[in-house]
Amino acid sequence: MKRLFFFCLMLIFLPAYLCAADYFDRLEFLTPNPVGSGARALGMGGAFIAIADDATAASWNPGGLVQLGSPEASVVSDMFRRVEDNRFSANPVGNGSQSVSQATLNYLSAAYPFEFLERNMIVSLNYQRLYDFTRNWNFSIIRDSEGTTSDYHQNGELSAIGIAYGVRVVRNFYFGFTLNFWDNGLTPNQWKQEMSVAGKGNINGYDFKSLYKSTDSYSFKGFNANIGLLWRPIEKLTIGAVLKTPFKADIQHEKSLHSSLQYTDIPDFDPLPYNASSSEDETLKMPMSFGIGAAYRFTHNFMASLDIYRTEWGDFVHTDSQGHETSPITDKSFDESDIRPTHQIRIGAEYLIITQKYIIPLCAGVFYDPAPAQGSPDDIFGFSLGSGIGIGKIHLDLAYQYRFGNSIGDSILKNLGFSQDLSEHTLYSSVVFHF
Amino acid sequence: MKKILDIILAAILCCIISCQNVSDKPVEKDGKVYGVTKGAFLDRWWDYYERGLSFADGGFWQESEKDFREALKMWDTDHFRTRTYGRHLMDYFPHRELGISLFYQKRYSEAIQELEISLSSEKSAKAEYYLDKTRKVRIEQNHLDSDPPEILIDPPEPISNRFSVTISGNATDDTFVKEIQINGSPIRIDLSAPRIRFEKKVPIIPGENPITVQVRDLSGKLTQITRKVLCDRTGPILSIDEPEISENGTYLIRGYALDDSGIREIRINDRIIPANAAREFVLNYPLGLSAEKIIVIAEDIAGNQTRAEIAKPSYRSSDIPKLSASLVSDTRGIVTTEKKIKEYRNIGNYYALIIGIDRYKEWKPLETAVNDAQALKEILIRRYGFGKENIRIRTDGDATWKTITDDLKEFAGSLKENDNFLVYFAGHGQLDKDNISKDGGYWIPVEGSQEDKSSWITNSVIRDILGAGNSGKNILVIADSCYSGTLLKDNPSSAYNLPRDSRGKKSSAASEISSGHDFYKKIIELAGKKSRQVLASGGIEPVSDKGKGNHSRFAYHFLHTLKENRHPLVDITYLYSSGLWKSVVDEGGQRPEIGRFKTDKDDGGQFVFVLSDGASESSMDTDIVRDSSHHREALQANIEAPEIEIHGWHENKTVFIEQALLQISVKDAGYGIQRLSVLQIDTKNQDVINKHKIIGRPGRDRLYCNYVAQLKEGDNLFRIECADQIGNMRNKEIIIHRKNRKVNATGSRMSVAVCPFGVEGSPSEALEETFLSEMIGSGRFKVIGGRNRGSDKISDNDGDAAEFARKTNAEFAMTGKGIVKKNSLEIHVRMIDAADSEIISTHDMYGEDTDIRTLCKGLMVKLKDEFPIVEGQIVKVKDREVIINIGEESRIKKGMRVIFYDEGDVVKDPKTGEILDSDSRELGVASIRKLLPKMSYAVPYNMDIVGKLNNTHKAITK
Repeated sequence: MKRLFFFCLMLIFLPAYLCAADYFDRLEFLTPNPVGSGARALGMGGAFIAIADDATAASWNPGGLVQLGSPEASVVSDMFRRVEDNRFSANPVGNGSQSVSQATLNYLSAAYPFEFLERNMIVSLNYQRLYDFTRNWNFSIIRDSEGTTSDYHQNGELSAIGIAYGVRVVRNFYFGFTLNFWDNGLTPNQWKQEMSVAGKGNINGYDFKSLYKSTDSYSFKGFNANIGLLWRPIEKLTIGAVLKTPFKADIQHEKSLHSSLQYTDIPDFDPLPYNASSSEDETLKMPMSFGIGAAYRFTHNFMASLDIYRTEWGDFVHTDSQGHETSPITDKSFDESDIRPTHQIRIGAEYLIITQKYIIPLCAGVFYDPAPAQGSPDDIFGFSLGSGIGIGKIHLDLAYQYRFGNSIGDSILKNLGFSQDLSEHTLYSSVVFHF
Repeated sequence: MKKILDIILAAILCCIISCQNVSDKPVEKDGKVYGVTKGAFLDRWWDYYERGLSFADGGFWQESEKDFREALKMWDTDHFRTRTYGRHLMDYFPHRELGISLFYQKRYSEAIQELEISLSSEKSAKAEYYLDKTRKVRIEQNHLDSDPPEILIDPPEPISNRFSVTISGNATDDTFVKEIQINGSPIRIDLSAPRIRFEKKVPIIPGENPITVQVRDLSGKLTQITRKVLCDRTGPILSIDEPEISENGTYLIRGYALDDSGIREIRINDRIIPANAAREFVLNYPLGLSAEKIIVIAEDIAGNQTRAEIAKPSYRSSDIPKLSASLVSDTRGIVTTEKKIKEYRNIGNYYALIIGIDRYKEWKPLETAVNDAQALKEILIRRYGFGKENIRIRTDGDATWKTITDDLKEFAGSLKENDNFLVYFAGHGQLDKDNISKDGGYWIPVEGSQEDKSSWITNSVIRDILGAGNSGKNILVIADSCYSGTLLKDNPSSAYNLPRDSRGKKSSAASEISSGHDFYKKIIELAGKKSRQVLASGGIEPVSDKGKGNHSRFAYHFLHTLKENRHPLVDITYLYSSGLWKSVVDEGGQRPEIGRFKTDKDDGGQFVFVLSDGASESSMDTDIVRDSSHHREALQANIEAPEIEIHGWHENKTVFIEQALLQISVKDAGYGIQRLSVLQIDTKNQDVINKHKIIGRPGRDRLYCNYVAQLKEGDNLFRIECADQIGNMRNKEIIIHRKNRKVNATGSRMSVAVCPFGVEGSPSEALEETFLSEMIGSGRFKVIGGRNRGSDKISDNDGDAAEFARKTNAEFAMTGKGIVKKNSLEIHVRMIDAADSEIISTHDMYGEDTDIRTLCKGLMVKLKDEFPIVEGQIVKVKDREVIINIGEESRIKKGMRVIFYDEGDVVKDPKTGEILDSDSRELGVASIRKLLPKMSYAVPYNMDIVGKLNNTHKAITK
C-alpha cells in the first residue's frame, strides 16, 4: 500500500524530477572549453599559426616546427577561474554566479630537429590538454508549492598524446603534422557529471522530502591529426595554415541513478529507494577545424600576427547506444539542430626587450572566440597580455587571458529562460628550454 | 584513421622526393671542417651568417662573402643579440664580416663601405679595427696622406695654481687621426676620424710644465706640439714695513709684493689696487687712521693670495729714531778695537785704478761714467785714506785698450804682499751671446769697435792679469757695466749665497759677529787673507746708466754706501749685503752680484775699506755717544735669526685634505730677510722631496707668503728655512699627517671580483692574469682576485659571476670571454652588478698580431672612461630614494654605487678664515637606480640612513 502511495506521489512529483533531469541532460555536452598551449602563444591572443617557432608549435601548426634549428622542450601549466553568472527568467531563485577554479598541466613537449636524406626534419612528442569540462552549478527551482535544490558538478578533460613530424619541402615552405592519440589509457580523456536534486513540499497536508542523484561517467578514445603548412614568401612575412581533422571518438558511458522520497509526518511510510545503473557504448563525432594565419616581423624584436580559425560545430554529433544522433550543443536530434560553424579571429603582437643578459617579452592580443549555439554562435571576446624573462637557454613566460561573453547560452534550458554571462581568467605559465 | 595516415604518408613521400636542401658543401682544411653550422641549416639569414663565419675562419673568403651577402639579402642590420627565431638570439654582424672578407680579397673600397655600414648600425671593436686597417692600406696604396696631422689646442690657462689643467682641442688630418697622447697618456679613440676632439686633465707641478700633445694619423705621421703651463701655487711674497703715521695724518703702508707669475692686484682693507700683472709691485699707500686693522692681500695672476695683517702703529714717522749700526758694546771693547784698527791702517797700501768712459768713438755715449769715476776717486781719498798718488784715473780718451791693460799689469805687478788694489770700471760692457760664460763678457775701451771683438777687453784678460799675480793681498774689481755679471759666471756669489772661507764658514765679518768687538776682530782677520773679489753692478743683463745725482744707479748707491759708512773697518761683502744690494734692487731692473775669481790666490779673505782717522772718529763720537742704546739694539738684532710663523698649523696635525695651504710669515728685526725656502722632506730618510725657494728682495723685515702643498697619505714633513742677510738661520718644521678620506680611499672604490674568462682557442689563465694585473694597476677599482683556480672553477655565466662576487663581498663581477684565433685576439668583458646580476656595462677589444697586455690596456682605458669618479650633492631625499645632482651627463651609470658623506665640521684658520680641513664622515652607500641627464635617483642599501640624509650632504661615486 505504502509502495502504491509512493508511486502515486512519484507520479504527482514526476514533472519536477523530470524537469531537473532534463536540465542537466542538456548540459552534458555543453561545449567543452578549448584550451590553448603555451603562455607565449596565448599572450599573443592565440594568433600563433603563422609563428609557431617554438616547442609548442605542434599544437598550433606542426609545419612551424621545422623552424627550430636546435632541440627544445617545453612545460606549460594553466590556472583558471571561470565565473558563470546564470540567470533564469522563469525561475529567478536560481539566479546567481557559479564559479570554478583549477590549475593543471597544460602542455609538455620535446622537439628534436635532424637531417635525413639531406633534408631538414623534426620530430616532436607532445602531451596536450585540449578541452576542459570543469563546471559546478548549484541552484534552486521553485514551482508552485514544491521546491528543489539542484547541484551539478562536472569535471574532466580531453587530452592527447601527439607525435609530430615536420619537414622542409622547399626552401621557404614547411610541412608538418601531429598525430593525436586521445586515449584515456594514455592520458586523461574522461569526464564525469554528478547531479543531485533535493526536493521538499507539501501536498494534501503532507510534507515530504525527495532526493534524486545521477552520475554519468564518460571515457573518450579517438585519433586525429593536425596538418600544418608554413610558407615564407618574403623574409618578414610568414603565412601558416593548419587543419585539425575530424574524427569519431568512442565513448564509454557509465550511468547510475538513485531516487528516494520521505514523508516527515508519516515516518513509517518509507517507500523503497530507486536505484539503477547502466553502461553504454556511444560515439562522438568531433568536428573538423582549420585555420590560416599571417605574421609580419617589423623588426627583429617586434612581430604581429593574425589568425582566422573555423570549426565545423555542425558536425559535432553524439550517437547513443541506440543509434540516436543528437547535437551535444542543443541536445536535440541532429536534424533539429541548427549549429553553424564558428570563426575565431585572433590578433596578437610580441615585442622583445633584449638586454645584455635578459630577454623580456611583452605580448598582447585580442580575440573573438565564439561558442557554438543553436542558430548563431554565442559571442565571446577576450584579450591577453603576456611577459616573461629569458635568461640564457631558459625562457619563462607568463600570460593572462580574459574571456568574457554576455547573455550567452540562451539556446539551452529555454523553458527556464536561461542565459549567462561568462567571465574567465586564465593564467598560463610556460618554460621553454633550448638545448 | 587509416585515411588520415594514408594522406600523411603520401605527403611525406611527396616531400622527400621534392624537397631539396640548398647548402654549400663544407670544406676541409688542415684537418678542420669549415662552412658548417651548429644547428640545422634552413637557409635562414642566421644560417648563412653562421656558415659564413665558419668559412671565414678557414680563410675561404669568397665562400664567406657569398654567405654574408645571402644573409644580408634577408636581414641587413648589424646588431648584438639579434633575434633569429623564437627566443633565440645571436650577435649578427653581416656587414662587418662581409667587410672583413672583402678586405682579405683586397677589395678595400667595398670593405670600407661595408664596415662603415656595420658601425652605423652597431659599434663593435672588431669593425673599428678593420675599418682603420682597411683605411690605412687604401691610404698607403693610393698615397692619399700628404700631410701630418694638425693640432689645435684650446689655449690652456698659461698660469694655474691648481694641481691639474684641462687640455682640450681638436686634432685634424687630411686622412684620419688615429692616436692622441697627452704627456704620453693616451686619449680613448675607438675609431680613427678626420677630426677628433680631445680633452684630458693633466697633473701639473710647481714651475713650468711642458704639456705635449702627440697626434698620429693612420699612416703613422706624427705631429707633436708642446704648450707650457706655469704652475704657481705660491702666493705672492708680501713685505710690508711697519706702518708709519705720516704728517698728513694717514697710515703709510709701504712695502712690496713680488710674484714670478705677476701680481694681479693688492687689496688693502678691501680697497683694490690693480697691479697689472707686474712681477713686482711697490706699495706706498696712504690709509685713513680710522681703519681698525690693516689687512693687506696680494693676489697673483694664478689666483694665489698672500695676506698680511699688520698691527696699527702708535707713533709718527718723525718720531722714529734713526737707527745706525753700532760696533761696540762696552768701553773696553772700544779701546781694544781702536787699537787694532790703528794697527791695521799701518799694514799695506791701498791702490786704485778707476776707469770711466762716457765718450766712445763708436759706441753710444754714456752720461755718468766719468762722474762716477771721479766721485769714487774723491771719496776713496777723502774718507778711506787712499793716497792720491796711489789712485790712477782713466777717463774717456785715456781709457784705451792699451792703457787699461797696461795699467792693470803695472799695478798688479807692483803690489807688495800686504797691498790692496781696487779696480773700478764704468763704461760699456758687452756680451757674446754665443758664449755666455766667464769669457763671454767684455769691457769696451774708448776706441772699441762695434764689430771687432778683438778691440774689446775680455774677462779672461782681466782675470789673468789680476788672478795670476802672486803679489797683493786683496784685489777688488768693481764693474759698473752691462753684463758685468759674466765676470762671475763660473763662481757667482750673490747675496743669497754669501761667500765662505776656506773652512767653509761665511767669510763676511758681519756673518759671524756676536759683538762689535768680534766684528772688527773678524774683519781684520779676513783682511789678512788673500782675496780676489768682484762686485758687479748687475748680472748677465744690461744695467742702467742713469740713476741719481749724475751717477749711475749702482754708482749712486755704492758711493752713498761708502759715504754713509761709519764703521772704521768694513769689508766689501758687508757693504754689499747690508745696504747696497737692497738699495739697487729696490729700484728694480738690476741685481748686483758679488763673488770671486776662481783662483788659488783667493784664500777667502775680504777687501776691507778703512775709514780714515777723521771720518772714523767723528762717527764714533757722534753715534756712540748720541744713541748708544740704539746701537746695542741694532747689534743685538744682527745676531738673532728671523722668526717664522705658520698660521693655522702647529707642529703636528692630522687632516683629511689633499692640499695644505701654508700661510707663512717671517720677521727679522735685524738686517732683514735674505732667504726663505719651503722644503718637503721624506720622513723616512730625510731626503728633500721638494724644495721651493721663495725669493723676494732680501733685506726686508717682514715677509708674508702662501704656499700650497700637495699632501701624500701619512706624514708630510715641511721645513721652513729662513736666513737673514747676515746668515742667521731659523728652521721651523711642521708635520701634517694626512689621513685619506675614507670616501676617497682605494678601498672605497667600486669593488670588482674578476671572474674566470671563457677563452676560445687558448688557455684562459694568461688572459685572466693579465686583465687582473691591468685592473689593479689602473687604480680605479678595488680588485678582488686571487681565486684558487684549481679548486673553484666557475663558469663565465653572468649569474655564476654575480654569485662569485657576492661570495667575495664584491659589488661587481667582471667576466667575459676571449676569442683567440691564429692571428687575432678578441676580448669581450661584462661588468655585472652582484646585487641583481644585471650587466651594467660591456666592452670589447679586437686586435691582430697583438698581445694580450696591449688589448687589456686598451680595455682599461675604456673602463676608466666608462666609470668616472664624480662628486655631487644630495638634492632631495624622497621616500626611499635620494636624488643627487649628478646624472647621465656626468657619465655615471645605473647600478653604480655612490657614497653619501658629510663633510663635517669645517676647520678654519682663526685669523684668516681659510678652510684648512673638514672632518668628513661616511653616511652610507646607495645604488643608482634611475638616471636623468643632470641628476639621478639612488636607493640606499641601508634604509635607516634615509632619515639622516639632507641636501647638505655630498655624494661620490665609488
